[in-house]
Amino acid sequence: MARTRLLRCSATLLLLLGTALTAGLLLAAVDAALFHPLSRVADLLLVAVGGGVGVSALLVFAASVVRQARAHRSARPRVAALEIRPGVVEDAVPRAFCVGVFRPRVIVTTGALETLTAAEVAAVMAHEQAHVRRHDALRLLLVRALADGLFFCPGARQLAARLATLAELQADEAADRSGLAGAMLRIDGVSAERIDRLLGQRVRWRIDAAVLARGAMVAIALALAVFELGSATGCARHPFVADGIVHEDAPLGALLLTAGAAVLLISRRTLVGSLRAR
Amino acid sequence: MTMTPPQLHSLEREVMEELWDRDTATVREILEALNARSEKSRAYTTVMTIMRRLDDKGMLVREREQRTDIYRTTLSRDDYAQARARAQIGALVDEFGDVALLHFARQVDALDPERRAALERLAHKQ
Repeated sequence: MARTRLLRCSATLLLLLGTALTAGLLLAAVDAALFHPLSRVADLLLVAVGGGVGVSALLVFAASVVRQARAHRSARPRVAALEIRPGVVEDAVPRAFCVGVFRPRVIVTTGALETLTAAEVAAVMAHEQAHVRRHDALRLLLVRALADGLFFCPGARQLAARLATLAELQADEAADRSGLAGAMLRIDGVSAERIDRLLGQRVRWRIDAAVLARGAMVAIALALAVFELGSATGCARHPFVADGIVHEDAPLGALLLTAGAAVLLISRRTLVGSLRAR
Repeated sequence: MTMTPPQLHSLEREVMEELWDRDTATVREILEALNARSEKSRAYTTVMTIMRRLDDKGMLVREREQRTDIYRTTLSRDDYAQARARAQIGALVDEFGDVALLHFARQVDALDPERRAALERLAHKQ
């Protein structure tokens, strides 16, 4: 339904915003370090810290992609080796899942075929086919990698986890309700939220506002740092002359703001923490 | 739940294959069968150790008849293969979790009676 999609888009956008800011910081720091001889300590510090954050984010992101791709690559042949006929594996426990990233396949266990009615199997297959159609395996791989890369940003992991749940809710919406209800009765481990959604409850946003607020502060700090680096390298106009007055612009002010936001984040018992406690 | 049968390494596998062909056997019989099939000649103690170990692993049971031990398989060849396959799917699910497999269901939430009843109503409303 439209609402699930809206929530999914919003969460993705937030994650992409954090990624864009981090990428911007990395680019600005690299640009400053390579092409703009900066002299002031504040600028150099910003380049060092910004570059450090940017590079580590990139490395963690890449490592996450590699780790997940490896898991996918080893899972696929191992599932294939257990197939007794295409798409079916021998297992008494009723299960269904997708395997593979670029060309995902739906696998069900013999237990699922034995315990579920035809309508229930059809509903489970419709759910899994929805994942295949939307390339959820690929999307979630990227989402997890982006969230891993944003390790310094509170809320990124929650966004990724929420996106995984929303993908399940959206896949449920593609299946016949009655068949799905039957399947949920027989397959253990369906989350309460999915059942409630199937029974007609509205999908909720469900991401802790306090965590998001702390994430927003990090985002603001990133934006300030990018802005600061941009103006510091603004074709070396320090100090610049406008209206006949020599302006000494103050990156220090922005740096202090950035540092302040960071301190606020680190001590969880500050602003947000105390608001939450009340 | 039944126990997952152990994975067998190559010599254990050979011994089990021989045993599956004949249901019960003594160490001497298995030794002779193995040595008849391959150029390599195995020592009595090697085969005895393997069969003792298979006994410990629950793949064989040992019965003493007069002065010789007679071994019997606990699982048929097919049952063993099926149980292994089942264990492997379970292991795959545990190993890869959400990273590589997109599951229909993978939470630990137990179904509460209220939700169960509501689902049942919905399931029977065809």
